[in-house]
Amino acid sequence: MNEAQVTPAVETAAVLKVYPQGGADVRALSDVTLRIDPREFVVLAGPSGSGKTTLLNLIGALDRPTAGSIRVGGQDLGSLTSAERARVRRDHIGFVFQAYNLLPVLSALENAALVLELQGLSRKESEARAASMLRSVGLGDLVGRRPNALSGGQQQRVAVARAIASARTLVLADEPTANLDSKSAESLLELMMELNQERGLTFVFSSHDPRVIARARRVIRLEDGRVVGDERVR
Amino acid sequence: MIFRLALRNSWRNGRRTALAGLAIATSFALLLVFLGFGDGIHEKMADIGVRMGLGDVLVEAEGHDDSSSLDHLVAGADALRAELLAVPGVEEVAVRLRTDALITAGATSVGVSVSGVDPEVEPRISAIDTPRSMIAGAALSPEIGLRPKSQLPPIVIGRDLARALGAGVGDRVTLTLRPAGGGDTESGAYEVHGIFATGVRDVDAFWTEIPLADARRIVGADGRASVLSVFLGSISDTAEAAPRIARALEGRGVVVRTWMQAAPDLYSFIVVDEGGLYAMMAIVFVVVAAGILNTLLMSILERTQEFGVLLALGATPSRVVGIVLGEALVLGLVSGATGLAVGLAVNHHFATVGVDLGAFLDSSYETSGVLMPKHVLSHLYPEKVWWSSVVILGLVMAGALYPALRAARLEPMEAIRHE
Repeated sequence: MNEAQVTPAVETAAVLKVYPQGGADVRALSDVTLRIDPREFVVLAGPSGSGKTTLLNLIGALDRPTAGSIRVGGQDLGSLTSAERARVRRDHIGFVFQAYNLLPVLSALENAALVLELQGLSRKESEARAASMLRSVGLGDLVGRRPNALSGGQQQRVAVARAIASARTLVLADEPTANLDSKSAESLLELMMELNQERGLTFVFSSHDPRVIARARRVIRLEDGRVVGDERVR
Repeated sequence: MIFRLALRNSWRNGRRTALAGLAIATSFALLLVFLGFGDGIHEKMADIGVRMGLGDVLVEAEGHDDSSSLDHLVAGADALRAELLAVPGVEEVAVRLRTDALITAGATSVGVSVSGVDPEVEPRISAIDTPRSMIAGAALSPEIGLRPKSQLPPIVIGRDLARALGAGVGDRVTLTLRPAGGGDTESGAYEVHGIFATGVRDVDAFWTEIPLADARRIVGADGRASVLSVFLGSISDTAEAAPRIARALEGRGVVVRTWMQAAPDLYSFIVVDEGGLYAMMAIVFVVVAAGILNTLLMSILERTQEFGVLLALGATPSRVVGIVLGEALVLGLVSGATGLAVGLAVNHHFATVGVDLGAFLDSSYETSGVLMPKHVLSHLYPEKVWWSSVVILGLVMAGALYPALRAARLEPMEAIRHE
């Protein structure tokens, strides 16, 4: 099957995003056209304010572009209602946030099972699958702990388990290693690469950490909201 | 998951949740106590009014528009009484003959109402001619008929009337009245048999009672009556029983009225008092609802990031609404159950021991022409417990609706970045 026949994991066309700021319009993204295929391991690189997070939010159906179109798994996000966009996030996209963003009243197991229960699975089934995911990210012994009893690295692993617990194939991560020490960051990166290779998950994450960028197989560089480079590293 | 989240979030700020819960529980308990106390006191007020010469339901001759007129009397009253006693729900029927008269003792005369009553029936249902009301002498009783013919017939009069006449028990008084059908006035001598004090000024100053047989004889109204006063098992059965009684007596030339129609002042007093109680409770409810709204708004504001995460992970807005309403439901159910238990327990105390209002009332116990009871037993109707539970839970949920919608409308990324 050639590239044209594969349904892209993500496809953007002439995306423009303008934010009103202090009475003036600020262009956060301009004319961003991209294609990311399934199983890719992509880093959005660039300095602060270059538009990395804005692009991730648009791909993740968390925000709407001012102009242009975005397709995830072939589905045009522009035509969807808020509730339909929520379902796309729930069923197709996994998120890993810079600040982990686990729910403090839920245990690691319950956090990882959250999306599965949102998808309508029973508590028993959700927790069985979440436990399996936590084992696969190396937290099999810590399932009952609440976030405040876990280190930053462990919390981010729970966040990854939450992102991949359902059958979703696209994982978006915004600066996932920014709050971690170098050892935890390295370990998390290894985990994400492993999941990419073994489970065939597509990873798109933002970073300006050279160590992270060096591990990516494709680096899309952004500056002032424009794509200024797109390199396939290996 | 929604329930677990709701339950655990409720206890994250324990003090705030406990305070909100306490407000709900207290207002619910107070509502139940006030409802029980209000119904208890109103029933007692109505009951006293009904026993002060009225009845739960009154059967009168058609055209009888003045309680003391002898122009339209119920014929065959004793047979009609027997028929009424056979109507389901009717417990007692008092046959009464009333007219206006002049009572004279020595040189003093006072215009009064004279009520001819059955001494066998009256002590069971009346608050006037009853041993408890007597402050001197005795009430009319069945033994009255055993008195020697040479003795004057008995009369019971009120305390204020006795004072005005300067008459005491055993003294002779004269009644002068116009007989049924008109003609010359008739006079008869009576012996003061008892003096009553009801607390109602008009009754104590202008009301007298004599045996029904004597009343019929002196006014020439044999077998007839001004009114048949019907007493039911409970005064609250009146509205339901009145149509049944009216159907049973259809075509007999009588009209059936409830005590509410016969004593509109008393009924209005009760309705207005009840309205005041509900208005006060409505104000309490508004304050409680505002408290719930504030508690949940604060809670949501503190957890803006978490709601952002939930929305980002794919929770639909309706699911977020469900989470917030779930928290309100947990709060409402726990505090509502507590309020229900406390309210029922306090109400049970007032329903068995009662409340003594004597200390709050003056010696006459009369307010706006309505006699206030000295001792009240709370009476809480099960249906009022049911609807007040629904109202309380509804208020809690209504107070939670705005915070829930606000949480559901959050923009996920803005919410996640919220500090």
